[in-house]
Amino acid sequence: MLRTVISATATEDSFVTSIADPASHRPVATIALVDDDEQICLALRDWLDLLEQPARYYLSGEALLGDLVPDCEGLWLRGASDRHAPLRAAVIDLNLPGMNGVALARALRRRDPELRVVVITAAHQEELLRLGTEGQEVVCLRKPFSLDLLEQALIAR
Amino acid sequence: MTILDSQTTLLLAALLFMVLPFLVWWITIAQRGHDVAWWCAGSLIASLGLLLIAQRPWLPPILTYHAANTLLLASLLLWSQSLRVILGRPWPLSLVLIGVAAAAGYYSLLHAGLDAPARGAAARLALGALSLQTAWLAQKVARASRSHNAAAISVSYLLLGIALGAQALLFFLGGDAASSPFSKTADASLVALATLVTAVIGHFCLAGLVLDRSTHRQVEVQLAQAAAEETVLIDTQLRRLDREDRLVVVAGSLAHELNQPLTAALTQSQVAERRLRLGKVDHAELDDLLKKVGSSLERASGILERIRRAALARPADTAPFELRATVKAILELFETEWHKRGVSTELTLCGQPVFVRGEEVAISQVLGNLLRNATEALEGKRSQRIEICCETREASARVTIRDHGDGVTEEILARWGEAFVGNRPQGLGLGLAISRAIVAQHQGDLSLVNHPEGGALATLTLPIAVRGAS
Repeated sequence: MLRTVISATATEDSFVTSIADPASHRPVATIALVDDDEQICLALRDWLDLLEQPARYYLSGEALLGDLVPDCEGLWLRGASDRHAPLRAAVIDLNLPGMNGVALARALRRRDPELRVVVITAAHQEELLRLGTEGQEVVCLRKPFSLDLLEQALIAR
Repeated sequence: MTILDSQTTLLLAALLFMVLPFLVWWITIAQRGHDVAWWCAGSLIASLGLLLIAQRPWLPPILTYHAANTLLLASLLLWSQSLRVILGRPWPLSLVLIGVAAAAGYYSLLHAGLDAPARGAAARLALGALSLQTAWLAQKVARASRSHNAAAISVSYLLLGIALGAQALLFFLGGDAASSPFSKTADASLVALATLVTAVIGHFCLAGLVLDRSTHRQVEVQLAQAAAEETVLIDTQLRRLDREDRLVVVAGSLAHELNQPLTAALTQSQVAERRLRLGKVDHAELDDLLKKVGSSLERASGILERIRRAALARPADTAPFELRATVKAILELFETEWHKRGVSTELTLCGQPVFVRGEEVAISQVLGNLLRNATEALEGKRSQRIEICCETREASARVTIRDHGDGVTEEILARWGEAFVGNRPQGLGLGLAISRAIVAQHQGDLSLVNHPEGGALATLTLPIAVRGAS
């Protein structure tokens, strides 16, 4: 099922308290940003920096998949020595070079069915459906989008 | 037989041969050329010859026999020449003069070797042969121009040739000594009548033929003009169609492309706003954020500028422009798409500036078409490579675009440049035809061949306008 978030209200505070856990010794969950436009990735990372939410960005789906730790339960991003970071959510551009956003979302969901995925796209919803998103719960945001909506999509289930 | 009195008839024919050329000359005043001139000259000479024959009782034989027969043979040669002019294969003047000299020589030879009646018969044989030749040429004209006039001329000369031949044959068979042009015999009357018919039909039909041909030529010129105008019209329509086609594609892909920098700008500005709200910002950071927003918006406006340039092409823009810059600009347009498709490009540019004259937007359109074809040819192929090269060769600039696809099909190569041909599954396929038209307008050349090592190789050649200082 495809759900398009058209309006939502969320406060930054709720978001911050829900994911940031600086006191914990567990590795901090990371959000992956996947868009072939580096400026968008950088802007989103700036925003997540502001929220003290670790994020990594990738310019293609393959780059993200290549950064995953193989052969382990769930989704982990490679880190220095043992400090792998669990993947908390992914913001994925639909129109990626090579593997498209939907294929990437499917690949990620196969390894972690609970992963939060937000697809950002300039395409219309009908095109999204044609790309075969049926059967998957994916939140979709139309570019350009408000950060409030993205925040809401990343925390709401 | 009184109405066919040969002498009267011949005199009448002589009179007609004298008067009718002037009539023909006057009728064809606007259309006449060498053809009418040769014909009328032939008629005047024939008239003189016939008049001389009519003077046989009074004038010396050197005039009435030698000169008269030579003139008649010459007149037939001139008429033939006229028809040859119409057929477009005239004899050179020297050959005509040699023919006339040969005619004079022939009769002198006859005079030396044969008695009077045999001479007459031999002369008629020669006249008959030349008449038949004239008839044959007229027949060729009739077939070539589908002209009834020419057919009528052919028939009249055929009749004359047969009459003269029959008279000569009768002499050789029966030795009829009385066979003179003035005889009251049927054969002589037939020749006289045929001469008369030839005089009348020959002139009127020739005038008709010349007028017809002139009308045909006018119609042909008008048809050619109409065809040329239509070509221009179709060309304009094709270019407009292609522009519309392009507009749809450009609008679709660039609207999408425009979204990227706008999204970046909006996100950056929202981040800045949040930082301000949280108080987590100093001057340097704020400056940095605003610069990021600005550069994203500049990217967006650059895309809009490209849309404007691609879609709202001004046709009258013909100034010298730098071809390497044009090539680089058009490659930029394709960068996003190539990046997405995973296409790699290799660009080779010559060291010094290359200036060509013309409509830069149109040449961009040609390059765009070629690059689009190359890109689409690579779809699903193992080697995703396009090689682009811009160089100078003597007085011309060359841009070559080579892809590593399947190459161009035989059908495309054979019908290269026609409208509505193109091996792309989508689009109207007008691109190549329009590209060729544009390049032709720039006195350039556009070729499309298969590279010996596979793939298509397109070469755009344009004359160099100003060689920039290196």
